[in-house]
Amino acid sequence: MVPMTATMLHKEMLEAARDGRLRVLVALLVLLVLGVGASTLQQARSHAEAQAAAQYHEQDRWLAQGEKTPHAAAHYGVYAFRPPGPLAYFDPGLDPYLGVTVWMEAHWQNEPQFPSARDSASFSRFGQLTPATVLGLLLPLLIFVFAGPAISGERERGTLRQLLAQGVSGRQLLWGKATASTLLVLVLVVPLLGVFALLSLRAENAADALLRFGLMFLMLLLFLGSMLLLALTVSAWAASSRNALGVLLGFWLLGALVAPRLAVEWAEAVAPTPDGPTFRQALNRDLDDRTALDAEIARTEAALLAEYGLDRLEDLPVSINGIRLRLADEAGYAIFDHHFGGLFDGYLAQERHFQRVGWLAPYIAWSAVSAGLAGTDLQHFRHFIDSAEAHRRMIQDMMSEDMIRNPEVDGAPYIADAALWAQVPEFEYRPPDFSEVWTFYRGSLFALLGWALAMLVALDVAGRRLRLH
Amino acid sequence: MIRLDDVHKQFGPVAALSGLSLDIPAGTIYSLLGPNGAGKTTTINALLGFVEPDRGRVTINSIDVKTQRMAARRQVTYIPEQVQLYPRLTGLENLRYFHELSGAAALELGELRRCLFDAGLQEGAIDRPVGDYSKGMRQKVGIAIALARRAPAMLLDEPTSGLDPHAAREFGESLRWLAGQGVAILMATHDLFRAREVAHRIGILNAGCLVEDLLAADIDIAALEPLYIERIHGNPG
Repeated sequence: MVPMTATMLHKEMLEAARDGRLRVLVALLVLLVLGVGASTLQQARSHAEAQAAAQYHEQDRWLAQGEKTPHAAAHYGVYAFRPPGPLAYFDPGLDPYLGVTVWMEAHWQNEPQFPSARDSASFSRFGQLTPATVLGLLLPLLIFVFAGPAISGERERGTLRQLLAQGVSGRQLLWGKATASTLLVLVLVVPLLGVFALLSLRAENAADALLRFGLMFLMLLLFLGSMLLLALTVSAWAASSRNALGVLLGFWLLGALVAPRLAVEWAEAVAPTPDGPTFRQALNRDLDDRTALDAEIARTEAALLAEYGLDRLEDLPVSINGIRLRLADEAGYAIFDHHFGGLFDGYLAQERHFQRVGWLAPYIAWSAVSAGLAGTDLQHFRHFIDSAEAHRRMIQDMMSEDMIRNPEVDGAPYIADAALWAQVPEFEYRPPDFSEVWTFYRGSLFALLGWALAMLVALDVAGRRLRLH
Repeated sequence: MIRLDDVHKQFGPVAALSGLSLDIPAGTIYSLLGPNGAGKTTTINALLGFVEPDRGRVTINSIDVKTQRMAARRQVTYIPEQVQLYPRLTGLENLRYFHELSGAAALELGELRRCLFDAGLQEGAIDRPVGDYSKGMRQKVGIAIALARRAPAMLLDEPTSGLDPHAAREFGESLRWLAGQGVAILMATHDLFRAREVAHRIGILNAGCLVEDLLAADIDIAALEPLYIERIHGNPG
C-alpha cells in the first residue's frame, strides 16, 4: 500500500504543476527567494569587507592622532563597530534604525535615538524586502490563499464525498494534506535557509550561530506550520471556500498588520518611557548639579595634601587636573547608568508587553523571536551599547590615569604620544550567546509552541468532525 | 451483502426512511426507484455512514456501518450522479489517486490502465486531463475505480442521469459484468427503462417505505411504468 501522504503529495504536486496561476506565483516566489538569497550573500560579503576596512582605518586613525594631552585624546573619540551576525541579513530588525556603530567620546554617553524607529518597525518591514519579510509575512499569505480552499474546495467540487466514501477518514485526509503541504512549503523555504546555514557555519562563534540558526529554522517551521494547520482547519469548518478565504485573510490582516501596531500602543501605555526632550532635560539636570562632585573634589584635594604633607596642589607629584577629571567621570558614570539604564529598562519592559500579544497574534511572537535570534533587536542593541560604554570608560580611565601619573611641569601640560594610544585595546564586540539571553524571548518561544500545539489539536478535531455540509 | 433492517430516519418533521428493509446478495443488481424525496439518497447515505439511522441496522458484508463505519466503507464503491474528479489530472492519475487512498491493494499502472479500458474508456482518453471529459467518460472512471477496488459492494446514485442512450447502455453492461464478478450493486435511479434492463430486482420507494419489491424478470417495461405510477400516486381509478 502506498503511504497516503506520498499519494497526496504526488497529486498536489501534479495539480500545482498544471495550475497556471500557481505556477506563476510559485515562480515569482522562487525568484524572490533566490533574489533575496543572492542579494543577502552579496550584502553580507560587502558589509563584512566594508566594516573590516572601516574598523582598520578607525584604529589607524586613533594610532595616528599625533601627540597631545591624554584628555585631548579622550575627546578625539573613536567609533565602536558591531559586526552583524549571519542572521542579521535574514532579519535586520531594528538595525536599519539603530545602526551598527556608536561614537565614543570623553565625558558623554551618546543617546540612542530609537523610539520612533520601534514604532514603525512592524509596518516598515513591508518596505524592506528581507528574507524575514518574504518568509514571515508573504509566505503565510500564500499559504492562506492556497491551503484555504483545500478542504472546502473538495467539498464544493463533490470530491470530498467521494474520498470519504472510499474509506478515507477525515483525519487521514487532513493530516495527509497537512503533511503534503508542509513538504511543499519546505521546498520553498529550505533553499533560502541554506544560505543562512552556510553563513552560520562561517561565523566567528559558529556554535552560537548554528544554535541560533537551528532555533530560527525550528521556530519558522512552528510558525508556518501553525499557519498551514490553521488554514486547513478553517477550510474544514468553513461552509465555502469564499468563507474560508475571508476568515484567513482577515486573520492575516489583523495578525500581521493591525495587531503589531496596537501592541506597540498598548505596551507604551502600560510601560511609559520619557520622550527625548524630557530624558535629556533630566539627564542634563543631574549632570549640571555639581554640588556633590565639588564636595568630593574638595575632600580628595584635602586628603592628598594631607597625605603628601603639602600646602599647594601644584606641588603634588600627581596631576590634580587628572584626578578632578577622573572624579568627574566617575560621577558621570553613575548618572549615565541611572538614566540610560532606566530608559533601556523601560523599553525592554515595553518589549516584554509587546511579546505577550504574541499569544493572540503569532506573527508578533515570530517577529520577536526572529529579531532576537538574528541579534537585531533591542535586547542585543542594549548589550552592544553597554559593551561600547564599558570600552569608552576604559579609554577614559586609561587617559585619566596616565594624566594623573604625569603632572604638569611649570604649568606646561603633559603630552602623550602613540605609545599610549597603542596601549588602548581595539574594541572587539562579542555579542551574547543565545543561551545567555534566551529567557527574554521565553514568552514568544512558548507562544509559537503553544500555537503549533493548539493548531495540531484543532486540525485533529476538525478531522474527526469533518462533515459533508 | 448489502443489508438494511427496519431502518428509520427522521429529518425534523419529515420521515426520510420508515422501516426500510433490504437485502441485496452478492452478484445481484438492485434498482431502487422512487420520486424525488422518496428516500433513495438517504438510503445510500445511511449505507455510506454519512447519515446515522434513528433506528434499525445497516450492514455491508456483515460489517455494521454504525459501529465500524470506516471498515464498512472499505467494502463499498460509490458512484454518484456525477463522478467528481480532479480536472487537471488525467483519467489514469485520478484513478490512481482514488485507488491508493482507498487503502486497497496496490496495482501497477498497467493494471489501472486496464481497469479504465475495461470500464469502456477509449485508450486515447486515458492520458488526457479529465477536465475535457464528458459526463459519460467521468462515469466510466467511476466504474474503473470500482473495478480496481474489487470491493464486494457498489452503491450508485442516479448514475445514468444525463448520459446519452449509448453511454447509458455501455454503463449498464459494465454493471452486469461487475455483478457477474459477484459484486452486490444498489442503484438508485429515476430511469425505469434502465432499471428494468440492468437490474435483477427492482424496488419502489415512496415516502421512506418500500412499497414494491419484485424480480425484474417478472415484469416488462410496459407494465413497470403503470405499476410505478400506481405505487407512487395511488390508483387513479
